[in-house]
Amino acid sequence: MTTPAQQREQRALEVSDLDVSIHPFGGTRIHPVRHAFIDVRRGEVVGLVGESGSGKTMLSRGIAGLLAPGLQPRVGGRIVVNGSDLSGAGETRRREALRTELSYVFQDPNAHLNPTMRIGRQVAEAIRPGGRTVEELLDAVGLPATEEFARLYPHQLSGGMKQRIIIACALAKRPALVIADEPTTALDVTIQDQVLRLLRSLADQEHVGILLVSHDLAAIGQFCERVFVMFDGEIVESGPTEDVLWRPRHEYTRSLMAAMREIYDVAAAAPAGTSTVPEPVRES
Amino acid sequence: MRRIGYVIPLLIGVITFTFVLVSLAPGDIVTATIGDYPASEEYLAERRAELGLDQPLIVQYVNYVLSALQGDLGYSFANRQEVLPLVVNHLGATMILVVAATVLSITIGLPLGLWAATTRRRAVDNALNLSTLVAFSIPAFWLALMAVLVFAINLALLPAHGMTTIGFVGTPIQRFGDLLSHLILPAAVLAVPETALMIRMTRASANEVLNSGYVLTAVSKGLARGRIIRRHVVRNSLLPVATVMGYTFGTMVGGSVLVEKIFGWPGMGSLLYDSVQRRDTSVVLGVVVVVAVVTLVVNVVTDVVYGVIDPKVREATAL
Amino acid sequence: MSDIVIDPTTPKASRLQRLRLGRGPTTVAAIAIVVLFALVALLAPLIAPYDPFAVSPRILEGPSADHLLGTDDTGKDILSQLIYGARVSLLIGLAAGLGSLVLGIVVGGIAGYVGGAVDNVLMRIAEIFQIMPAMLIALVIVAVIGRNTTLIAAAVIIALWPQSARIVRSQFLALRRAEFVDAARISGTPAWRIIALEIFPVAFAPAAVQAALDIGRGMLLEAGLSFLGLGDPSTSSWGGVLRRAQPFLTDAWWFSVPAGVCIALMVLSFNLIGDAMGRRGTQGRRAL
Repeated sequence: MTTPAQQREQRALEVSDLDVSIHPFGGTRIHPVRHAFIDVRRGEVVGLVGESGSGKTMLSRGIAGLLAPGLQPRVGGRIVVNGSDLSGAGETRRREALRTELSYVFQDPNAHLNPTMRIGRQVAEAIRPGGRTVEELLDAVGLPATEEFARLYPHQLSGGMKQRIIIACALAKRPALVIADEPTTALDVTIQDQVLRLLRSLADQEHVGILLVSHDLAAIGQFCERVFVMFDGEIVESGPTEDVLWRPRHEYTRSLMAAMREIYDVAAAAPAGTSTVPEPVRES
Repeated sequence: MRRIGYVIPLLIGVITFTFVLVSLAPGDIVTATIGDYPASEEYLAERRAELGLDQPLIVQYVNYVLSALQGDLGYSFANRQEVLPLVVNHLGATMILVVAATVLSITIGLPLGLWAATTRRRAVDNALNLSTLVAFSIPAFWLALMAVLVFAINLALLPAHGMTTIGFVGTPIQRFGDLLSHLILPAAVLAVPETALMIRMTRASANEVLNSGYVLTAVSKGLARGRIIRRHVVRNSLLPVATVMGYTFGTMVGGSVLVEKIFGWPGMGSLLYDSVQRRDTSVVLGVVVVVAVVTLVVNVVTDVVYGVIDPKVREATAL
Repeated sequence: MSDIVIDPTTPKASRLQRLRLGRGPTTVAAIAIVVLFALVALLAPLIAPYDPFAVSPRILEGPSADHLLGTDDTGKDILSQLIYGARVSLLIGLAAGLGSLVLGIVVGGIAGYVGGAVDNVLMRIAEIFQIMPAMLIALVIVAVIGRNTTLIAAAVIIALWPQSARIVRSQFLALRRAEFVDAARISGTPAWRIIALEIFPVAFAPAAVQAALDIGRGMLLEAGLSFLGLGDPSTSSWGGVLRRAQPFLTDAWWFSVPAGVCIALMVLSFNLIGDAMGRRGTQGRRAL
């Protein structure tokens, strides 16, 4: 038996020297992720930031084994999820890991729920034998834990509620690690904060390690203990959030922060209600 | 009510199309529709007065549309009968044929389409793709001729002509068997391009679903491939296919003109063929209008059925 | 919605692509067959061994050195009839493909670009021609007005145009709101330039795919009309050969089999070309 304290220290994810390459239909093989490393402890929220196209999604999909087979992906390097080594694992081991250890939360909740299946069943099919009930899971993500609610279809819910359902699906297997890939980008600004708070509280209460992939530096600063910065397929900087965001060492992170502050200064001067979601600016 | 607002303008459009045709034909509307059969001068005069042929074209048009909407599609001198009941009498046989072909194309096409989309073997997908293109390319009437040649003449397995054996007596079950044996060849021939269409549409639709986010969610739950296909892919792929049933029905009626003629099937297609040969134009136009009406009805029915299957539509009306 | 959907094109801006012909052995074979038939049609008077209308006393003779594909019930050489038949089939097919392409681009383009009530009316008209089966439309036009090649071509176009109009319209609708079109509009580019330079090149690809398929459909319609006795009586057509072959199905296979194979091969070739043009790399992004 492990004590909660030990569990906190336990690594949910350890990745080193990760290479991801894909071969799109009709193109040539490209290497969107090179020599990447990342680690997440249980009960911790770790941020992964970088501009779009930097390889964040490729990295997180590569870790989860969710790259489209048609892209003929190759994933090299060391991937350890909750102590079990997935390096070079085949399809069966990958699926086993997705069934028991590792969950993925996608960007657009509107696209990621089956429109013709009741939400209760969609949560239920991810539950492992002896796991929690659908009602308990709905309750855990702050949704009404009733049978009537579980019988609804996705189109009857708001975007924020749908993302909570997806998070409930992610929790159903009692995972060690949840990879949340831009989980709030498709949501209203007011809902974004709620969903991030939910993820934070799940990390604290359920001792799940959460890898929060985002380009929203404000969110990362608010919710993450540590942060990894990705640029052009490589991890260029990592460390405690405070250090990385306020005392960046890498040139790219520095320019990112400078651009951010500019946006915030402008946003502060602009009337309330204008968008405050910053888009990282590529240095050139 | 909303559906009537959809059906009526289209029906008027179809009637307008037939009016334009007879206006362009040699002779006036009445002689053009009557065709080769001699009609009495009284009938011609009566019909001309009815449609107001001495009045401006626009009045003629309005009268023509109004009488057609009321079911007055003229009189067939070749058949000595009003056109509407004549066509409707032949509708039943065509419906038997088309429904049988639809059942065939669905039961074969949907599973094959799903197979083509979900298989990991490219060769299977390519072979099915090529087969559907071949099926689209063979003229139905030639396929019918070859089917008659092989199955009815050379192998003598199935009857090649008519809907029932002339003078056949027996129990209702035997009579049904007799009908079935006559139905197999024409229905199979008619089903060939429809099956190919079903395969292609199901395949395209299933590919769309396989690309969807919710299938990725299912994969991320660690579910087995077969289970994902059964639970998440099948239903969502078949829903869009259901919506085109109304149109495929129309296509099949078009194909049945040729197929019925070859198999001597006593439906609208045979009636149409005979009427074309006799230049009995009022019947030809009548068939067009009746087919359009039936297609519209089938469209409305599939629309309603779709509403029952798709939770998005169903719950929206229930709430 | 359509009566024959070879490849239902979903208009998603991310998926629009320019025309590209996939290369494969079947595509090459299809192009070769089309070229072969086209040459035969062009050179028909030179290569046909007989006048296709010349009757002779040698009726229903099997294939021989004199008559490579035998003779029909009035002693006409079947090979010569098939050679001339390629002309009719190609003529009507190309007219169908080109005609419905042009009509589709005009009607679909206007409907998609202008939108609103104009779109509504035009699409309703297209729908009128879609609730009647294509075969029935072509048949009724020819049966009521008259039987000649021009009218048959027109009838086939009228029967087939709605589908390409729909495809072009959905492309225009999707593109009208695409970013690069907005950018052009904001920068003051006139509408005709936007349509010609920004929208048309992208919208053309799926319309061209449909045109290739329409050639095949047009050929099938023409064959069907001729088989029903509604072909142009002054031409020799594959469907017409089959019409006359029907009573002699058991006695003279050379009468009915080669003509059907010609139609099927020709239509299949255009379908294969259309399919190769329309093939998209959908497998690439699949999660499963």
